[in-house]
Amino acid sequence: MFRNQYDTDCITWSPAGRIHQIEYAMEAVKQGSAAIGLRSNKFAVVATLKRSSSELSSYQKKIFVIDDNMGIAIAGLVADARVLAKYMRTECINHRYVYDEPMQVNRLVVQVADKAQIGTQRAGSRPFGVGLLVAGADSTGPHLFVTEPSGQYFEYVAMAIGARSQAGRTYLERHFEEFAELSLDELIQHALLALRETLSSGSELTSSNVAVGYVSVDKPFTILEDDTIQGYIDLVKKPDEAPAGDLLSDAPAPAPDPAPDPAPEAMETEG
Amino acid sequence: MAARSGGAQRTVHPMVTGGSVCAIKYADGVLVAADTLAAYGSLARFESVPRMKAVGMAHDVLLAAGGDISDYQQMLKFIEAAAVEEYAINDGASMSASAMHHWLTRLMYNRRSKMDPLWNSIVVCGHRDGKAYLGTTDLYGTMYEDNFIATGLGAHMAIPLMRKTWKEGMTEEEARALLVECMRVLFYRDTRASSMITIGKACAEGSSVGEPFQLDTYWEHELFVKGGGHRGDGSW
Amino acid sequence: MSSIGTGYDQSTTTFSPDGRVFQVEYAMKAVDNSSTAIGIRCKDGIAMAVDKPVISKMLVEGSNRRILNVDKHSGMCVSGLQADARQIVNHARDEAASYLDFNGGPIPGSVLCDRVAGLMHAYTLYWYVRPFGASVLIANYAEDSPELYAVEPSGLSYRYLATAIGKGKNAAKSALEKLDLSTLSCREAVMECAKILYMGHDPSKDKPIELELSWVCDETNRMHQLVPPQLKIEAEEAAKAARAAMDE
Repeated sequence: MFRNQYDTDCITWSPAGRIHQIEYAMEAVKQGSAAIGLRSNKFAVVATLKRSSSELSSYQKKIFVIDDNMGIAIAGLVADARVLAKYMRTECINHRYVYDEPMQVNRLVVQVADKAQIGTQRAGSRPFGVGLLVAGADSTGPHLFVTEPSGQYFEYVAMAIGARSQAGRTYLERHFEEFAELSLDELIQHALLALRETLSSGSELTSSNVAVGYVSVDKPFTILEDDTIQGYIDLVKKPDEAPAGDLLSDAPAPAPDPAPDPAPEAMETEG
Repeated sequence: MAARSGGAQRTVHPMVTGGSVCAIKYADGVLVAADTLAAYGSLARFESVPRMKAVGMAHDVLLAAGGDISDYQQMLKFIEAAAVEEYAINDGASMSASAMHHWLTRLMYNRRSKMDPLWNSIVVCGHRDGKAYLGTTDLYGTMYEDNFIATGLGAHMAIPLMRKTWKEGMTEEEARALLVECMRVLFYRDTRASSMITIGKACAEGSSVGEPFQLDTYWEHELFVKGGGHRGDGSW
Repeated sequence: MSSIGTGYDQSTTTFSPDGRVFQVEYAMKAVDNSSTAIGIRCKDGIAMAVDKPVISKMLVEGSNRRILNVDKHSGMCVSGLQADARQIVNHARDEAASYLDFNGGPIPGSVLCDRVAGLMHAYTLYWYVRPFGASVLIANYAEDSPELYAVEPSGLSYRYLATAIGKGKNAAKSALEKLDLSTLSCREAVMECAKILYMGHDPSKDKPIELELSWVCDETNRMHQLVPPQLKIEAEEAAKAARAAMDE
């Protein structure tokens, strides 16, 4: 069953100079349903696709408020994400207590990434199996960061992570140059259109499986879900589904059928 | 910390001390004045010790202090370490006067709660995004902001002058004149004050500390020359 | 690598029969697969440069840094796993700060290098950790002497006049040997760094790259910082021109 003898812990280097356990942890991110992030000069927006494990269960929450100026969207192991969210909230609260000011988003992201790295270099711990999209705003404007299980982090104008996120990324790559001056409503529509690309065939965006979070320098991080997201979902409905909404000018053609859902792994992602 | 007599030894009184600090907001920012004396008890031990400094990574904060000089110098080291850290992070953000004031207040409150205070009154001045900041903290960690602040004996003798004279949007000349007047009154009445003072400024151009200069004083009052004593020969 | 699979390469705490610690060698592989980084020491300062693959056009320009400040007067240029490298840089920052606090002056290059090498070496000694998958260049300008060091995952460190780490280190090193380091100014060294990195990059078959250039020299008041945008543009244009001339 083992691929090789170098892949069972994260403190063993392979002869090629790789650490397979970190790479496997990154796979856990790809198992989680997609999360989209993008930003303009004023707003940072995240959008997520929520899953439910059965008809009787609720949908797994994927956006967490960290502080007034920051929130995260996650893909991967939710339990790991909650550990990181708790850490981030604590750091933000302590920062406010000491400085009476919200935290700089990038500084917290570096701290989170450093924390994640530590789990990749010691026996007796494992890497976090979760990727974060951090949307925040501070004295240097709105920001979107991505953190990985490896302890790497990046700042993007737009990015997608999670299952079938490549399709969402393709959408974003085609449009990100327009984002800088867009209004919040337009950004949210772009986020939903990118999110729609990540759907598996036969499913659609609904008010119960979509959540959006946004923040700006002067507006606190806000989550739109259920009733509050319905209006935006109606706007991006495909023309053949319902009364034509106000589609963004050059909405892309429907994506080719995405690959089937990957088989469930030993450890469940997002309930 | 453990001493021979048992129990921890702490700063129970300051050793080398600075006196009052006076600061006021004016049209373009904040001006702050302090003398340059570091006294050892009632002895005028060091005559040219700076008691204000431009600090922070962006050098747009001005920190002035009275009280124990060594505690103040320790505080400057903490601030410099934080500034170097921000230089290293290099993300375009730097600690504002308000953030630094809150941070130092937490520091002073923590220390006093350990019964080991930093024996200072500090005045934090700054100017950023077109807004002036002026605040103070004492050795108990009590903080407040105001348009004019005086610490030490100045809280008793300079504040009335400021209340009478201060107004919104004073020019730099008016503000300087007011501070000099405050410092002169303090020099006349405060036995631990010196007539050599510095004036610092925090404005849109950043913060800076001026060269020390001597206050003009007048000692030729008739009674001073004659003396007030019963002998009438000029002695007291 | 005949010992692969014999079990002598599974742990940092295991020597192979011929006296090698394979886990350390494997960690160095991570560096050899990563960005090329160059450092040049001149009389008036040090220049460092690193090439980075452009992983996405949506990446915010200037993020994803591989050259970081350690102190006002010193910086690090890293190759290998960035997450690992960040821990090394954090440690260097702590060491620089505590040296300054304790001694009241900037940390000398030799001391900083020693402390960093000590950390990296410690991670090759115990079964419960793995060696860092990163090498670092340290540029330090304190006490009137600009110094350049390189530290490897093994904890081995050397002081250099010029050196390179990462994927293209061999080609870069032979290019560096051709420079006259006794006359080169730091400004010229920045240009040379860019040139050497572009020489090792074939635009027709390699992925697009982005450069990061830093210097600490008399011109910067002995502060370590990224080179000003204007100089970066100049250096990159000169480098691209030199590259194009080579291709013809």
